[in-house]
Amino acid sequence: MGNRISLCMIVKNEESNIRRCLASVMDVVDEIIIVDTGSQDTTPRVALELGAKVYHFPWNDNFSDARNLSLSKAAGEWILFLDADEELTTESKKVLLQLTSEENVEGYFTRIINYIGKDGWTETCPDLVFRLFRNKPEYRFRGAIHEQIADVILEKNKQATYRVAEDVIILHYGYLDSQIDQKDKKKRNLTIIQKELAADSDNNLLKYHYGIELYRAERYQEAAEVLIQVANHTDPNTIYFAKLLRYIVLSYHSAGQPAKALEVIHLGLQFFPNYADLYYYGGLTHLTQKQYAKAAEFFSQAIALPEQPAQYASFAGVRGFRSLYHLGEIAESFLNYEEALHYYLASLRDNPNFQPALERIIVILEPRKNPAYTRECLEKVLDLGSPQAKLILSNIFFNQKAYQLALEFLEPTSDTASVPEEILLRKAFCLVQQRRFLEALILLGEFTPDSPRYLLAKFNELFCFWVQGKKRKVQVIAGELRDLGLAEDTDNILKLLLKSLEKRKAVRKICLGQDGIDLLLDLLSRLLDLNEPEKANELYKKVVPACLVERQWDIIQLYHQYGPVERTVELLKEYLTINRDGKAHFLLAESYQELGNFVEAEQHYRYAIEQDSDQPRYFIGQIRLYENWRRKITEKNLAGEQHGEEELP
Amino acid sequence: MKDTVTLVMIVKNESRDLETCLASVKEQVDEIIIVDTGSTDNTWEIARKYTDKIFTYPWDGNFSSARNYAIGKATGDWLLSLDADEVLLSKPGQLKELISRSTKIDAYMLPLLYPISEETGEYNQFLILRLFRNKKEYRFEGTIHEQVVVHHNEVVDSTTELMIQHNTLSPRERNRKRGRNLAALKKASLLAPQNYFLQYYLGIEWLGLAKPQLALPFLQNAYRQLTDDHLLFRAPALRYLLICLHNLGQLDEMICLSLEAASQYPEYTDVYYLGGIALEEKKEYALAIKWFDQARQGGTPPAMYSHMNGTGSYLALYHMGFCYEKLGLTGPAKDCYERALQENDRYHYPASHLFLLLLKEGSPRTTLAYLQEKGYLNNRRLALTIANLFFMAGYPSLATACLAECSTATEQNDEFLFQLGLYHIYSGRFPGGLHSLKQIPKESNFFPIAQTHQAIALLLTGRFKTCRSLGLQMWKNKSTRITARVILGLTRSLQEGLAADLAATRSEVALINTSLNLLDFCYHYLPDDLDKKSYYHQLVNVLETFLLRTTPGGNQALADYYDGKVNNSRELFAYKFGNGGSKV
Repeated sequence: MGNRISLCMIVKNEESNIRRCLASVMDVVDEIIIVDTGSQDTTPRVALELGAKVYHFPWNDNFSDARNLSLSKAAGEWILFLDADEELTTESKKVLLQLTSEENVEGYFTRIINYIGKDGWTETCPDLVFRLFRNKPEYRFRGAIHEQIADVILEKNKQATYRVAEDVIILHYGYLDSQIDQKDKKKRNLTIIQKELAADSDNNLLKYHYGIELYRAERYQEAAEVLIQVANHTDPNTIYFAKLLRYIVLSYHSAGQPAKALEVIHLGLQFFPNYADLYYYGGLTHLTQKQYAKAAEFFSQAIALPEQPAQYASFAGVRGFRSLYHLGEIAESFLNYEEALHYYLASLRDNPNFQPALERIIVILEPRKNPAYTRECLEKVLDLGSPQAKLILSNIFFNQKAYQLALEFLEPTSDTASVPEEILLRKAFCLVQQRRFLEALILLGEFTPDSPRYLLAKFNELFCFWVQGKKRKVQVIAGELRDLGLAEDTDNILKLLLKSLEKRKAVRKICLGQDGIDLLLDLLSRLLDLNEPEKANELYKKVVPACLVERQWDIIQLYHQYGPVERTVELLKEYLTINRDGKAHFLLAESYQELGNFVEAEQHYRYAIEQDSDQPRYFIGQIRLYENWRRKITEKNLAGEQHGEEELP
Repeated sequence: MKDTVTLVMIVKNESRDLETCLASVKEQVDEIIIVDTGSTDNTWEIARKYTDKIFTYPWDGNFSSARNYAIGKATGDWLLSLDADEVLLSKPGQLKELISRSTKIDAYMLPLLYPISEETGEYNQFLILRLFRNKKEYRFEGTIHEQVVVHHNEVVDSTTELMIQHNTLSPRERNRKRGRNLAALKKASLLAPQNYFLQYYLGIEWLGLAKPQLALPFLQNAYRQLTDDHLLFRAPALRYLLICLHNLGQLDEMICLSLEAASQYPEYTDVYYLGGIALEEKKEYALAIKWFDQARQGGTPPAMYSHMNGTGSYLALYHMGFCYEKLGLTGPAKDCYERALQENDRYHYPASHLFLLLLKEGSPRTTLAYLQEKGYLNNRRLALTIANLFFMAGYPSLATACLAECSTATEQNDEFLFQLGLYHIYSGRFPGGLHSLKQIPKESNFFPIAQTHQAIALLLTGRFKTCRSLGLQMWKNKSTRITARVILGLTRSLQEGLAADLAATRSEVALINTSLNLLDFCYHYLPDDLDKKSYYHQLVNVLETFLLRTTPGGNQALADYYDGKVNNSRELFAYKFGNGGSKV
């Protein structure tokens, strides 16, 4: 028996992909059969150039028909089926020749690695697919969308045996956000499969795919219901049973039915006790229910599991960086930062590109307060050399308002001409926050009126002068800005800034819209960072309080971040007259504790817990208060206080 | 044949109980014979209201002879023997109807309900021969734990239609009786070493006096030597033997004995229950659940078996719930606790477990909503229990909400008024709170403590003048004098804006404790209304300063108090969140 391989494909408008795909198999297959279902680009021409036999087939909403046409044209003894957005890894090629010389195998499941997410931030998700099988006329695809052939072969040939070829690896780029208009694809798939299911309602496999499409279309409740039905009619030895269970768990989890999700997880673990994904999603489910101890238990178990078999299609990182990240989160909610750091670092070690872990590490180090220390720590665990790493870190620092560090990680790129404007602007921003006004102004001066960031640059210039109290300069720039034509809210902010430079006390307060408030909060944050609380207060007082009501919490957090704590207390008391929520009571309790007012602090911890008793930090705060109180008493005892008459507060 | 019944009693200083006893039975009997063995109180006066057949019998340390003397005076066809601290539970005519039922029966055994706790409604139940024909051969025997001996089993029957209810004894009273009994039993046992009934009683008395190591050999002897002919004794001997082993911590022996007994007496609920207890303590929770479930399925055993009420229902359910909780199965645990509460709403322990479970899973508010929805708050007893749990957990306004559904009822008892007032005050609803507390009458047990809380309310609201006169009023009563001192001191301090001036130059334990108590009450204050103006801060400061200055006792007590707070909050935290993510 020969072992020639025919590559079969169906394509439509794949000019950006087809080269990559064909190049990856060129020297291993004996012929290339391509069925084009209506490309309007250069796909057929490219294919022909690369030596493919190209056939045309008018699209009829049925993938199997098109695929079967390609099979009918194949002359090899084996069929390798690929999609244009896939490629075969180099390592797979040698194995392929070996596999096709096996006598007693009718087909192979191969590994596929799906790339998902956005460009620049991709993740991989491995799975198993049936793509290599003997070319026999009776082996034909079935099903309009999730076209199947593995089960057809088994029906035609009861003795057929399959194997898993773990060394054959297909890379699939089609799930990347940039590759597809997800929504349209989902909708199209759903309609086709519904039609098909109407004609063949007992087809369990079809139902399985239907359930998955429902899940992808974010119709979670329906997905769960369909998939449960499928599971009840599926032999647990079926190759996709593990995946099926995971999809049910995911559907329930996403449908907001944690109890059901957990039920399926416990059931699933009886079949697949080492299935890391079940533990991982179990952890997530417990976490959403704020059952921290249980969640931690599940994540820890996920980490401890061995390498996952290919048919589990285990999601990358469930045994590593993902679970570790969530363990870090849990430790953080218990105010256990050392432990959290430990987990986040482990997560980052497992996947150096996993940015969320890096972000948490930086947040914990408090880069704004401890720039030198943060830098020192990061140098120990990260390679900060590459420009890309520097940019990422600078970004994170900037978001954390750690402007000094953000600047440090930008500074080496001194040749302004080659630096993107966005970076330039950010650099100027950081310089202003470092009170290096002159340098900032030089950078800002580089922006020309044709730049899309000209307005922002001008505004920063104005802010520079405003902070320094240079009234004339401010007025001049304000005039320039107005000449550019400003949105109402921006203009209002401008008014606000101008008015605050005037000596008059009683000024009519200004009402701001959404954008104006955003701008105001930005200014307040920058002023507090510049240690200019009076200036911040001036601005704040000139705004009609009613329009700030909804953003009160953001303002409180600003003051909480920068102090003074007395101001935070004032704002929180105001806030609590309208909103009684746990987080405000908690922050008030913490502030009181900081001020040494234990009596008030104690009450507000109790209020916080009464409002929201799922937050470990509220309880920990309370415990710490009692500990401090106890300590204070011991200290007073030791000091042997003077017994003078004390004034009561 | 006309069946007449004579009540025969022996009494001594029974002025407290006699009236209730006689009132419970007078309509059911034709004649009352009372033999007094030396009363010095007004027992006679009470007795005379019900009968003129009162005799004196000089006490000779022998209960049987006194009782037989009383029998000798009786003219009725049947005799009913009661003690003054018992009452007959029956409907009119029931007793007569029973004895007229059969001419072949000479004696009836009646269940005696012996309370363990008034508060929780737990009681023991066993059969006792107290109703028998007035024949010469039926006489009491035994100097103590005297019993009527009827030698032919076929003429003895038992009933559960009539029951005898024993009063609750104070622990002191009970121990006094036990001491007296023990002395007599020892004497009797010396004369009849083979009398296993005596050994049984000796075992029970030692057990009751918390000396299980002394009780053990007697109970073992009694259980091994008595036969099923004396199941009325063998069954309780078994039960007490199991309890005795439990108290000695011999859990393995307890389990072995339970297994053996369960195969011999498969209907005996108490054995499954006690076996379950042993397994539970050995942390064999899954097995224990099976045993408790068996007990629950058995329910109340046949009357011949001495039985502790509840072991076949709420007690078994409560322990099952506990075991489920230990296994981490909170769903079934909650279910068991709830069923236990439905079986006996006075047995409040399941309520606190249920409460904590709900609190662990949700928030105080969801807990309240759940209990409300389940209707527990319509039951006043449960509502009070639950409200108290909320209050103790630091949520006075939710405690108030617990009582809302019951507080519309017209008739309110003191306890209800007290709790209602308490929770109102500490959630900042002062007028309502004071109103409730003021309705509590002077005679009530709750009166003094209600006064204290009134004073705190007055201090919190700055009504110092009223508080002062309340303090002076409390001063007049010796039992509230210490509290009055603290309250008057606090009033003065707050009024003049000075630090604590309680005129305590040296550390006075009582004063310290009272102040600490008041401080603890204050820490329950959590007004709904955040703007509520009060003297809370000042009050806490004054109390704290006072305690700090009262060296060495006061500051140490205060330090201990905060230690307690730290520990409590840590425990609660661990209960609610487990070890968190602590794996490093």
